[in-house]
Amino acid sequence: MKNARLNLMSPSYQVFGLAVVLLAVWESICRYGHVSPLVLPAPSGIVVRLYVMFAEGAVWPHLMVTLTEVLIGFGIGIASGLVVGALVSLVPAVEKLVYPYLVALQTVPKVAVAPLLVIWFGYGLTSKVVITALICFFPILVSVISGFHATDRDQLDMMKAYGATTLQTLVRLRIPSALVLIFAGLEIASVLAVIGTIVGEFVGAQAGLGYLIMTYNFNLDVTGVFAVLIILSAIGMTLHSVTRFAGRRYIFWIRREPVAVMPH
Amino acid sequence: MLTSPLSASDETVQSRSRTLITIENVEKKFVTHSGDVVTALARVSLDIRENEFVSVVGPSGCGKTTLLRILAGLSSVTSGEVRFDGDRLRGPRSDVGIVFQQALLLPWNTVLDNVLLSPHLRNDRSEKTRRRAEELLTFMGLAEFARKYPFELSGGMQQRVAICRALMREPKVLLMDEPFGALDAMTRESLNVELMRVCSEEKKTVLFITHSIPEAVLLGDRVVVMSPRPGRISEIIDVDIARPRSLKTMANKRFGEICDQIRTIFGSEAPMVTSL
Ligand SMILES: Nc1ncnc2c1ncn2[C@@H]1O[C@H](COP(=O)(O)OP(=O)(O)O)[C@@H](O)[C@H]1O
Ligand SMILES: [Mg+2]
Repeated sequence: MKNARLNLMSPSYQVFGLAVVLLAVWESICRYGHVSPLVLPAPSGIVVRLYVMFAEGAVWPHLMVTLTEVLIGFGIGIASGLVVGALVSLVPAVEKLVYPYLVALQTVPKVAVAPLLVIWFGYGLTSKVVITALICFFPILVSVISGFHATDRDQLDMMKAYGATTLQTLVRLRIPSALVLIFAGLEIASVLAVIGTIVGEFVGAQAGLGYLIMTYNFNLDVTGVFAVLIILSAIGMTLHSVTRFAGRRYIFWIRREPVAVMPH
Repeated sequence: MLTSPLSASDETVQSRSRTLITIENVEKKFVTHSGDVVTALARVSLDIRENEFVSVVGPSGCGKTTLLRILAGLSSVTSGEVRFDGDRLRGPRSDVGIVFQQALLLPWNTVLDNVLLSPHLRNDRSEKTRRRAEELLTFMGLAEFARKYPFELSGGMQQRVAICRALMREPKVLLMDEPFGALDAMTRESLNVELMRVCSEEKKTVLFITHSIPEAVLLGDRVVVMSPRPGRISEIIDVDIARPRSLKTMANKRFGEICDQIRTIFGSEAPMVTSL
């Protein structure tokens, strides 16, 4: 461990180093390249702006609104994705009846439905929660269904040979096996959650970070837009890391490094 | 003959034991995706006596796994019948323990919990049962791994855990499908020795599938030689070598003769076997 810390060639040092270089280039272009801050603000300007936003407190209410929408929407998306996914996977009748509709629904771009949802659920919290939940729902649903399909046939035979009941096989084998893919789905959904909320706020809102971006944009305050963008990616990255961490804690038996899961 | 007149195989298996499992004219056909019918087993008949160790050898695809899955109650017969103790087999039985080619341990459970699978499925969580599982693990040289997870164990260790799990059912019958097939030669030999030790300690009726002729002869009281297309028994050979046996038994002259005899059977069906 000590050696790794000193090793400047380690990947994390390289990533960090690249970031420093890019920021330096960006800063010098803005300072010496006669680029208007209306087009591209300097990194230093964005940092100062972020500090001011938090110090003066103007951003807090918007942050809280967005966070609330993201978390509630994500939660509802998870819960409904898990329940519907389990029903579709485990109850053949439900699969036959509901699955075609789910596939059809999935092909509808959720972003395009956002204006409709704002009309139905208003400018407040509800419409954003619904959009967020809807966007999170499908990757989780798909991961639950493929998770249950991924149960090893030999393991199923083993449980059968050992006299396990259907319920015992479900609890002791099928659910734990499904968790690997379910957590992959949760990771994707955690990133989509922030996107869902912001789309909702773009379409119609009176508060929230998406609303703030729209306002800054309208006022040609590009530095402000960048500052909010940074807050948004911080939220997204935190949510993603927490989900990923929970997944790794929970599915400890997968030894290999899981492939980074990112939505497209 | 090197067999002593009072050897275990002579006394308990050959002469005194009654038939425990009857396989009668069992036929198994599969319909493949393309609609072809594959005859995996064609009229296979075999009586397995109580406390007998029966090895099954044959090239891959001759229906060994199919036969074992039928005996395990995991697969139905197309025609014919299997009887345990006179009762027609209808599904998995609680007095049968199975060891598959892969260990098939549950990766999220500790070694001990894997061994305790069978009692846990019966809701038996008693201290006594847990001690029995720990004894089995100790017997298999895995005492200090009880709290580890399967991914922390080597392939040979995992297979030993799988054997403990099967023994934990207190089975009368042990069905083993190439359990050591994926292991290196040395691990395999030591597991052969351990298996013989287990079987001499607690009397079991064993059907042991392998594609290794020496392994089949070393372990078996009888060796069933199977051939493919369609899968059938071509010959059953008595292994008249006294127990207890050890790896040294393989240097025995009679051991070599029996192995050769089996090789000759495969040789006489050379067009089929070598084409695999
Ligand atoms: N589920 C199945 N569907 C179709 N064919 C099968 C199936 N299981 C086995 N077979 C066929 O039956 C034959 C015997 O297979 P198997 O019992 O696995 O052989 P072995 O274990 O001796 O290698 C093979 O030709 C195999 O392709
Ligand atoms: Mg096989």
